[in-house]
Amino acid sequence: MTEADKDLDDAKNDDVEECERFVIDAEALRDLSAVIAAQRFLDAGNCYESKGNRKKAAQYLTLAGHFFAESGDINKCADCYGKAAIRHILNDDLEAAKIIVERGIELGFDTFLFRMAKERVEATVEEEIRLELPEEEVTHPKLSISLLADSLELDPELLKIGGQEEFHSQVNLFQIDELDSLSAGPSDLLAHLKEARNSSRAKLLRSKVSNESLEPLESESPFALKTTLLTPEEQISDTEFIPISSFLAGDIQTSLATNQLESEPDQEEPLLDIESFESIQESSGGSKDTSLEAVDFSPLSKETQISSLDQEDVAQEGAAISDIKISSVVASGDSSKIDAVVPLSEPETIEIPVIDIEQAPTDIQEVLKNIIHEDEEFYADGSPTASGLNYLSTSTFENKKGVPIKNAELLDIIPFEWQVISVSAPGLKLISRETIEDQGVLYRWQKPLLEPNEKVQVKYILRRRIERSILSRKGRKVALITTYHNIDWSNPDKFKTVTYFANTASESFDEVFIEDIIPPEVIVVSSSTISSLSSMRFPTENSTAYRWSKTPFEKSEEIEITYRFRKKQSSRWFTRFITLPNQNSLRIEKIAQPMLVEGIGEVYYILYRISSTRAIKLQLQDKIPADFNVHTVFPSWIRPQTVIYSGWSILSWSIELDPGVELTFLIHIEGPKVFFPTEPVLKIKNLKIDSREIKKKKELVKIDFRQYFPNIRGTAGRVK
Amino acid sequence: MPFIKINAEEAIEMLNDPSIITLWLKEGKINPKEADLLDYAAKKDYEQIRSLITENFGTDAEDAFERLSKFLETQSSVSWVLFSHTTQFIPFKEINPLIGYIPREARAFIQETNEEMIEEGELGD
Repeated sequence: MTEADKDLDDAKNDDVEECERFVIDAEALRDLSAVIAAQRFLDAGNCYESKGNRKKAAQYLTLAGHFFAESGDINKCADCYGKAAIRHILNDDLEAAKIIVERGIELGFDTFLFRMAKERVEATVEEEIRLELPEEEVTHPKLSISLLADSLELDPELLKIGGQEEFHSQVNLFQIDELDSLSAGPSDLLAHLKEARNSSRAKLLRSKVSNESLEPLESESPFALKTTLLTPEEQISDTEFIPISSFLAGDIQTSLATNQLESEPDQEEPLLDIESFESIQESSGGSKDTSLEAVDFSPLSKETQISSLDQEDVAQEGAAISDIKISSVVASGDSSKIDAVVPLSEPETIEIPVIDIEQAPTDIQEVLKNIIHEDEEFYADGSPTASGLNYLSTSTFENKKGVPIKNAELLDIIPFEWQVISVSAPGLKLISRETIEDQGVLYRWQKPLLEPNEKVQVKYILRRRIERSILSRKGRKVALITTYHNIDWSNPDKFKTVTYFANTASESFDEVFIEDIIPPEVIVVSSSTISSLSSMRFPTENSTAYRWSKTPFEKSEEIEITYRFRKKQSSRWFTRFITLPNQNSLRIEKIAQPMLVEGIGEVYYILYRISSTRAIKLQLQDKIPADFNVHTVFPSWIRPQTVIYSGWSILSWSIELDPGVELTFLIHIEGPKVFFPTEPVLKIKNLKIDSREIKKKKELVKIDFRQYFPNIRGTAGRVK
Repeated sequence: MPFIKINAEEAIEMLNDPSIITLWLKEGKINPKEADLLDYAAKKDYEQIRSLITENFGTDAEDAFERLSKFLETQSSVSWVLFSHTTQFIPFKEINPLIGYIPREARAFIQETNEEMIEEGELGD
């Protein structure tokens, strides 16, 4: 065992001892003082929670609740019961949760935490009842075309193809390098899944996925998941990724009917009205382009010089162009996908209505307003709004030459990860939208005559989708499907998505894994499924991944997963540079990071950093809502004085700064609701603010508080 | 074992200048729970003292409270020594504040302020 391992073991033992000590204290005090015993049990519950032992956390939170009830502190009892009930549910102990909630109802509890727990218990009980119903009595909502359409946000008409319900997806088929690893379990498969998604070698095939639960299955049904045809006895080529077509050639008849869902790859789609944009995108699948990172992009224009225009052709049309600049921020980094073209002949175009910002309906205008003024949230004091979820992408096309351009076109590719909320393109005609394999949806705009120095712009309002990868294994063969799901943002308090997946192949799969990448703008409040799936949640640096697995995945079996979201709160970063008399300067920084934990309550970490060029005494004041508790102050000697005033806890620190020494401290606070941390107040004796210049911006930043505390045991090694 | 690493002379000094408690805390000479007790002692907040002692001193609580009260009344070295040598120290363990913390890359509102501060009254007050 290495020194580091020993340290780790010691640390683990210490952690456990720490929780046990709370329990021992609480047990010893239970006959002496109910209040103190309750507090100790609560500490024990929180301690076990922080160590990941949910069962014990639930047990001691329940005990804490009992003792708070005994001491007459009903609100604290309600909170403890609420927390305990949620943990019991998470621990699959629904009975215990029900008992606690029933007792709470008897006692008339009505705190935020308790109500949340009560709702959760009721929802879980309902779910249990549904699962217990005999199979024939379960009316699955997805058996209705209109409901399926609703959930996919598709026009029901688009789903009716030859009596079946269908939607598009794309399928990656590949063979895993090390076949032995298939028996190694989910983690290996998921590693392969990642690899497959990121590999440029993955071959794609546009295919169809049928919802055939309405119809008897036919063995030759044209369904992409017919990887089951690939039996282990078949000859397997040496290539790592095997195009499905190489196995299924001739078997799959992509006999698509007459609507825009049925286009072959890269084939131009017939035009739809603007309302149908989403149908197209929702129905379009595609693997993730390796050049497109699922992170926020900066809404700055990227200019691409186009030099490959055929000037002779242009000249024949009577227009002279030598240089056209075109920009696109949505398109991938591959500039070859964006082009400016001057067609040789007038294309056949169809006019479609495009929303202009000024003429847009009020709700769209509101959306646009939010983009421009999204930092209004900065001062908001209520519930979060839908602002900050939208991204504005602008493509600009400018004629910088002194001659007019005839029939100039602007092409933009919107990757599948993005849902187009609205488009504004004054003066431009949308000629076509095409689905580009691996890329997204290509928008082709045209301007019949672009005068010299004239500029046209297309503005897209975008929101992220959930990116889902479905990995199905049958023997030695694995199929990977990537789909994209819109989030229903219509109710700011209850964003949700219902996702659906069914095995319509003629055989069962050995296992199926689903990984959903949740957009970084939202936090999942609850995730539920009526299927017997096991799930895991993985926080990532800018998002959250949910993984679901089912072993085996029987034929005709269905998976439906519902997520409920709320908007993720942004971090807040205040920096004050202060010039003081006597050539002294002071720097104060406050970084407030919401912890985005699921379930109950809100947690914030707030870091303060103060430094001065000369010795100075000052008082730093900050405020947090009065119903928030300061859970930890680190280092502990810098504890604040707290005064409750007008619904706020005013935290105040008297600080003596030495020259050149930076004082860094952290508080960890917990409370029932979202709030917006504000700039701290600074008081220095005999000094007042003379002038002030404020700059505000919103940026994608990485916040890692561990780097400020490299010597805390258990964190030092993890600092990057 | 003495309850606290503070001798009688320092304890008396503390009563006259409570700000020294923060300094001891910062130096690690006392732990935050001990600092709380000394804070209450310096303020002669008997209610808080009793509550803290009851919470931490177990069966010795009553004796400890009486001895500390005696010291606060008399400010005598003997009272302090009696108190500090007949009670156990209060265990305290610094909690790692970053347990459960997840660093993230996310959108943040960033506000930068440049300010100038002047002596109050300089502008003709």
